[in-house]
Amino acid sequence: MTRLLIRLYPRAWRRRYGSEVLVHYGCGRLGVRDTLDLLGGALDAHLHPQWARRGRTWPWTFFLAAAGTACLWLATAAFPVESVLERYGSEAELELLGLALSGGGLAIGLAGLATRSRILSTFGALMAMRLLIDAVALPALANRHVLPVTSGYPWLLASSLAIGWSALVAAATRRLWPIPVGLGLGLFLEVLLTSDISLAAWLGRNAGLNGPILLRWVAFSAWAAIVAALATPSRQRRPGSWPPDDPAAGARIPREPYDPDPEPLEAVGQVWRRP
Amino acid sequence: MSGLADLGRFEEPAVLVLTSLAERPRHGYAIVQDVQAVAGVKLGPGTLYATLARLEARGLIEGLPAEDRRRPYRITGAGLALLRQRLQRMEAVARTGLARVAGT
Repeated sequence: MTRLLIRLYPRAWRRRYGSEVLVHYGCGRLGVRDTLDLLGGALDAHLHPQWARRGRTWPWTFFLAAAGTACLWLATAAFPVESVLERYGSEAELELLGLALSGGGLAIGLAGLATRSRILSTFGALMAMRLLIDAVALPALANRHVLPVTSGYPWLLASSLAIGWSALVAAATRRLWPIPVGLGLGLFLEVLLTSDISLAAWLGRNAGLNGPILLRWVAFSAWAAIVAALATPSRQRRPGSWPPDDPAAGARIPREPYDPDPEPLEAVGQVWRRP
Repeated sequence: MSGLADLGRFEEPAVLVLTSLAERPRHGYAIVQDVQAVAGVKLGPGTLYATLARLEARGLIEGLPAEDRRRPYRITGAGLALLRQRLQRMEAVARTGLARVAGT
């Protein structure tokens, strides 16, 4: 049980503390309270990692994210919108497009996992989830008249959900502010310019501009904004690396011998001093 | 105290862990036992190691070579100074509070 719970922790944490926890808590039966405490600790270790990144990996992240975005843009541009629209109608086209782009997000997330880039994997997951929300789930609901909305409102509702969710991510992690900022900006631009009550629709109706082409460029700009925000390197919490290196062989051991089975504290005034 | 205030819910466990390590280096389970004996608080494993990671990242404690897969931790000079400052403040609060309680 303890071994399973430890698997939930980040790799760096397991390397540092995993065997220790197993020695202390792996033999006996783990109580409910300790189990919940370990679960909470795993969540905390992911949300508030205490180690700084080793070096800056953002150029690698940036190029991968930019390449992913370019691929998505090409996929979007190549998507046979008119034929699908003729066959299935606009809602089906949106669902298919959303699924395709969500798949792209998952691919980017997997690339992030493969390269151990936390920000890239988070980006991929966010993109996949966001597109599933606002391009698949809500249009589907609207199309089946589950939601009493016109075609413009799902975008707004989805954007609100996604932005609220991103704000939760920001509040929980306190480190990933570029993600909600980028996500919020991208959604804002997209909603502003793509819904039926939007500027793009108004321009299409009143100024004779070609809506679909304009919208593709807007979507591309929105994703570019997200990538730019993601590529902004986060401030490192503190210098140095974590977990710290083990003391070298022959390192000084404290003058007072280490007692592996200590007795309860007898005198609070006794303070161990560094040699 | 600025050094521990940003630990949030781990602030109190951090004080307890530092107090335990102020006596001598201890491994995780020994810290749990000592804290329970001194303060009557049982630190869960998740809380304990989250606190140790935070203290270690801040340079307030440091790990020693592992013995039999158990790594002892010791308090650093910075940790000791921070703990002393913190305990003095707590002592002042406790003294004032006790005096006021006695006066009522």
